[in-house]
Amino acid sequence: MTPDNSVDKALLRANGLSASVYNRNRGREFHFFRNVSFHIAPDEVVGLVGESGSGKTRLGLSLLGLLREGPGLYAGSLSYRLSDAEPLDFSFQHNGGKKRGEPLRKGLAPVLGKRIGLVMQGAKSALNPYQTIGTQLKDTLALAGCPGTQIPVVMEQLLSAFSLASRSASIAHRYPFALSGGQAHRVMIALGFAMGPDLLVADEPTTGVDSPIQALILQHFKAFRKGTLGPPRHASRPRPSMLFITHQIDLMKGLTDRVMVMYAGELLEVFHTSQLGQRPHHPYTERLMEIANEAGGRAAVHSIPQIPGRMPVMYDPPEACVFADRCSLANERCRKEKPELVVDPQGQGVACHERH
Amino acid sequence: MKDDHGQGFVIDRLTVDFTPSRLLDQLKRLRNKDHGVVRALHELCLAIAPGKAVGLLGESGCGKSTLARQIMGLLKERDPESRITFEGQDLDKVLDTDEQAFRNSVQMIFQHPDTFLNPKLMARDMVMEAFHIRGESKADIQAGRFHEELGKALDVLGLTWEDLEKTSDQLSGGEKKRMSILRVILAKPRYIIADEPFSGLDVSYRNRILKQFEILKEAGVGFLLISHDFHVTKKFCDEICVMYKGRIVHRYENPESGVPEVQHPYTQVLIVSNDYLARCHEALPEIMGKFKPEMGEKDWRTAGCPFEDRCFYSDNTELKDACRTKTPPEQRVMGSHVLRCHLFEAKEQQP
Repeated sequence: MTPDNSVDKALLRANGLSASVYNRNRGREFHFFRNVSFHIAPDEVVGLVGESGSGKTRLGLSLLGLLREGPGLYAGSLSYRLSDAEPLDFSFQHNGGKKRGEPLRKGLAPVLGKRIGLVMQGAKSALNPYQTIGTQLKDTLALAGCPGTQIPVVMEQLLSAFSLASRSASIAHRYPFALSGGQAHRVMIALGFAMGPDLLVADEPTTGVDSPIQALILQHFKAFRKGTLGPPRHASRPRPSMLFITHQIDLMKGLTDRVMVMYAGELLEVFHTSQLGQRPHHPYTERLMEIANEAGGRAAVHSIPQIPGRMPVMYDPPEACVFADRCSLANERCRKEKPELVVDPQGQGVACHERH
Repeated sequence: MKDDHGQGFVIDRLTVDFTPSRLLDQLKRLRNKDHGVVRALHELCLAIAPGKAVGLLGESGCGKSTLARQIMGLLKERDPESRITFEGQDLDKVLDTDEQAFRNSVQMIFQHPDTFLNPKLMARDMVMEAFHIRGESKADIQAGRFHEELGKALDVLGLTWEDLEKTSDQLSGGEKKRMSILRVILAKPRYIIADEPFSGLDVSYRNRILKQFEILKEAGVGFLLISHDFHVTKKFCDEICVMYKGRIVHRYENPESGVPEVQHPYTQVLIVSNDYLARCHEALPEIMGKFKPEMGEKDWRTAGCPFEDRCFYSDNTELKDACRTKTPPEQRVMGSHVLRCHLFEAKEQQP
């Protein structure tokens, strides 16, 4: 079953979203991301790939109102169409760096943690240190509207799926400080699933754990999407949508429907995962794929693919193509004119002068 | 150990126990009952030779970093039976007589650069120290004779001259990591102990650094590369050691293809999960379904194989008793493979 990717039915639509922070020491703006437009349809998993510092975490946080407005989010608009909730629309403008109220956060308050969920990076600091894991899971399930009789069942299911209840003492009675890093990481993901949200923003859920555990986590994400893991969903609600943020492009193949490639705070490309390698890609995506696909073996470390150069510093991002400095195809035009990301009705597009 | 020529590091039956301090003991009693002595390393044998790279694979908590700290002499408590020798001399003696010379020739890349970089120094000072370490004269350094070399190295690691003027809190996590690698590369040590050097770095940087490591290796630098990523070790290392609960369960010479012909069940889990992550459109392999993410409570002090509670072969009734009651002995299988698993007992008899 392929989800309806069309823009009209989008669960979330972002238009020209831009964010920056003013660095007083330098007297300059540091840009997190600029002019980002995308949409996520109901029952669609969208991947967001990019290297560290490309702005993908900030973009994820901004969707939950966790980035200040005015000095933070300074341009663009966000609209949400969540199931059994009022349509929510927000637009942002620059206010000269003054502090301002946060209508986005206030407006999202009724749906945050119920219809929109987040799996954060740094699980240990994200969990509530004063409550046991069991309490946190129970509260989350209750808040998400899981019927009381179902709560212990779902809890049990989630804990055992993540192997948190298999030891003699279940982890439910423990406080976050008594967990290992890997356990806290899995608790964080279980909490994200327990919300049964319409939109789950998962920020690097596979980073920092060993590869066997990464494989299991990925498998659980697939199960959650299918609805075999997590609280029961009412038939009227669509299956969950996800924004899956990662720096490992190879993880995208099995889980996501579409992939967005981010670099230096801009979206360079959006494409359907099924068409990976079958359509003209952005040179940056191509290089990333080359590195990911490079079969192992010891054959010549000297010839392993790499991307020379470094990402532009985001104090003065170039007003031309942001990847031009590291691109093998770059020409005069790339260094003068910024290529536009034009997304076609199927929800695909490339921001490159050379590839269309 | 087989090749004790007085070259490199030789680690013989290294056992390390951690006794929780009283305060920690009380805390542990609060959270669960299993307080007591934690065995971090158990009779571990390993050799690091010049010009060779040893890869150490294993999940978090299996004792990889403890081993690295032991080798560097940062952690000195060990079982009296254990022996670490550096170029034919006992490590403790080497550290007592000339610690500076040892530190100059053996450099470590730490997993968490935050705790490694001096917060009060500018990156430039830390990097320039590398030239002192390798014995360049002060006059040469001040005259800027290494300007070009430094520029090249900065370029390779994606750092700028501007970054050198920053203190460590002004650098991002990835930049800190690359800065500490830059320092180690410029210091030209004879041995590099790299503890998860690629965690938190992007693939493109990973490949660039691997390439630098390869150049160093060809110049005769001995490596211990600690990682939980099978993919990285198979590309770079000559010998791969798979560690479980503080002991090496599978050691083999890395074949050209990167895939070992014989696999310990735990090695198999590492390889299969890596393959799955690389092409995850497939269904999760069956053996992964049986694999538990949590390490069991058993270790090498108790009878039986510590991996037994997570092993997918433990359903095998013929082996079940042996796995539960007998510690698997070390066996050489198919030439280069040294394994600790009851599965291979039968094969040992074959010529």
